Amino acid sequence: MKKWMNRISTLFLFGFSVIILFMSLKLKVGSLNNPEAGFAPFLASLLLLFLSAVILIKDFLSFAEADQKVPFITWKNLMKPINLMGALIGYGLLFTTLGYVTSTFLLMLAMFIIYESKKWMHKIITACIIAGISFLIFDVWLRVPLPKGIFDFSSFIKTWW
Amino acid sequence: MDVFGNVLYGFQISLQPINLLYCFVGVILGTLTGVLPGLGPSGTIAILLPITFNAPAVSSVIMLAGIFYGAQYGGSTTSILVSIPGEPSSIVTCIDGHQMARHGRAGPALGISAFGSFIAGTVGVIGLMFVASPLAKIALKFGPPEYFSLMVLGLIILIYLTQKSLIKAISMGAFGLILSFFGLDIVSGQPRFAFGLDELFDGVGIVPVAMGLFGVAETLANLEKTEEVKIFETHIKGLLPSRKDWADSIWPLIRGTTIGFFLGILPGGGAILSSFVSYAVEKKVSKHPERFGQGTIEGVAGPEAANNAASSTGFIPLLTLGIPANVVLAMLLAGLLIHNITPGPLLLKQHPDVFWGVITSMYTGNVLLLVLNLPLIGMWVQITKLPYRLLFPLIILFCVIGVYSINNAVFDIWIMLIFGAIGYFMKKCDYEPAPLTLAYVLGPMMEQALRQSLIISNGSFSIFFFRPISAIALVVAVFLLVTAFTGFAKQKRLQVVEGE
Repeated sequence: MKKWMNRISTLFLFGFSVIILFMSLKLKVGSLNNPEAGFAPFLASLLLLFLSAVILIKDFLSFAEADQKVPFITWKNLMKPINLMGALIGYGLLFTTLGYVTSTFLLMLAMFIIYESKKWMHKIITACIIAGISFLIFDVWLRVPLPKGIFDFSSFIKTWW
Repeated sequence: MDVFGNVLYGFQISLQPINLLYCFVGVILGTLTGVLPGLGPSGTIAILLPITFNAPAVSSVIMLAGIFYGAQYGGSTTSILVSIPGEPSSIVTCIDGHQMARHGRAGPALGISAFGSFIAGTVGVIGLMFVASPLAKIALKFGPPEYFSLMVLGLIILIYLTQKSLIKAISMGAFGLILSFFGLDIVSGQPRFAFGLDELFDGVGIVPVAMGLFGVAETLANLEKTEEVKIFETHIKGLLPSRKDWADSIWPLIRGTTIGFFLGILPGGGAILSSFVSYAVEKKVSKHPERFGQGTIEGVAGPEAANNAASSTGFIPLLTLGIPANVVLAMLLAGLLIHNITPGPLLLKQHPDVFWGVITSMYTGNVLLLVLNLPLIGMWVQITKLPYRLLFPLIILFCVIGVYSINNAVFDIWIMLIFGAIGYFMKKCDYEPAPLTLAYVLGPMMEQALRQSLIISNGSFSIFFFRPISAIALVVAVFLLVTAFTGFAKQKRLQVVEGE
């Protein structure tokens, strides 16, 4: 699996460098005595293109026997990071709509569940407390304008405080 | 004003109650991040950068600096007690420090580590006071070619020190450089790589990128681990080293401090390199090299002194040349830039309060760390037992709010998540994030220096080789790359770590 992950990550860098290379040319590279906006990105993308090509070639030529001896990652281990990323993407999507307090409560609850799924009541109360206290710290004290959303719990917290 | 006058002026600033408070918070947070494996000073500084927006510039930088050198102190605690380095610069401390703990000598190991760190940190700060000012004056004579070559050297030294694939580390450096070019061109003001998104006209922010790479990616990686870290149960007694411990440690402390002092000044050098070199030197000069790896106090005193001296002198290239020696100092540079303070030779003239205030606060911070660390060692040990299930949601929450609060934009959260995912998968494939971050911070300065140099020389690259400082920096960089590719350096370092 590591071999494939390696190839995918290196292909990502390769593709990225190709895109930047063409965009730099479009920006105009200029000349050595008058370098323009695309000059430095062109050089950096050329270097990245070369290096990622070398890594890819090395990877295809090697049999990577050593990699197979060590278990790289299992689906069981990968589940928690994937779930956390899913929760964070959901948080990003709902952040302005639901508001800071509600979306943070849901994110906290999701993260507690991701780690272990016992003691539900305990988790709900802890998530509530963290969402409320963090709102007080950042919105009320540090004056970070956090989104209120459709469930405006923020005014309730402020009134209660 | 002479050095003493400047130092007095610096103390007037750093001893103001507000700055003392920031220094206190910084060293406490630094120790905490050093103690907690999985949350390094880079991540902490990234998380705290947005919070410092509304704080005075001097206070903010004092706090961020406190996090950096405080982490060196804290990192040794986990190395000695758990054999997990809280910081890469404490890797070497694991070898003999943990063995000392296993032999019932955790107290002297922690004690000599704290005292050694204090002595070395203080010597480093004193050196910083005397060296920084003359160096800043010399640096005024540097032109774009010197700056460009020194930045290349800094980047190459960092790449040279990476623990995994060298070619992948260089790739990450190139990737970081490209990312730093997003946004408006420094000369023409032409938008670059905006992909039709208005938010990218200002480029990709350092805070979302750093938080993604160090905060989110680290958390994702730590979530994979199913086993809980086992703390070595021991009764910590006798934190004050005995007379014999002092006698055994005094020369390693002096040598470690000297090594750390000089290696810390090198752009790209610093705490990690100096601790490895110090351990190798101690082993070499010892009459009983066979005791190394078995729990000898010299193996703790030398590297701990070295990494702390280096963390103080690491500020020299940052404050005088504007070149961060490592990724944590790169984050600190970002903190200075946020407050419209450009470190470099003119810093001393334009912002003497920042320059001398930060330097003298490091002395205050070292005293605070010694006073705090020894009596509170029990508390730090308890903190190492904090369950990760409680820690990681808080790290994520701080990342999210920290990133959002910069521009009050959800777009920055998306950037952080993208770099979190990139950082996680890249790390799995042996691509390290440190060269990316340093290259990202240095990128705009490197581009400006390169373009100016080429314009000055009428398009000839020979300008980099005909100017002595620039030529030396480039020759050293090439030498390091060649030795690194031949595998010699890696073998040497592995030998040190494995205690062969």
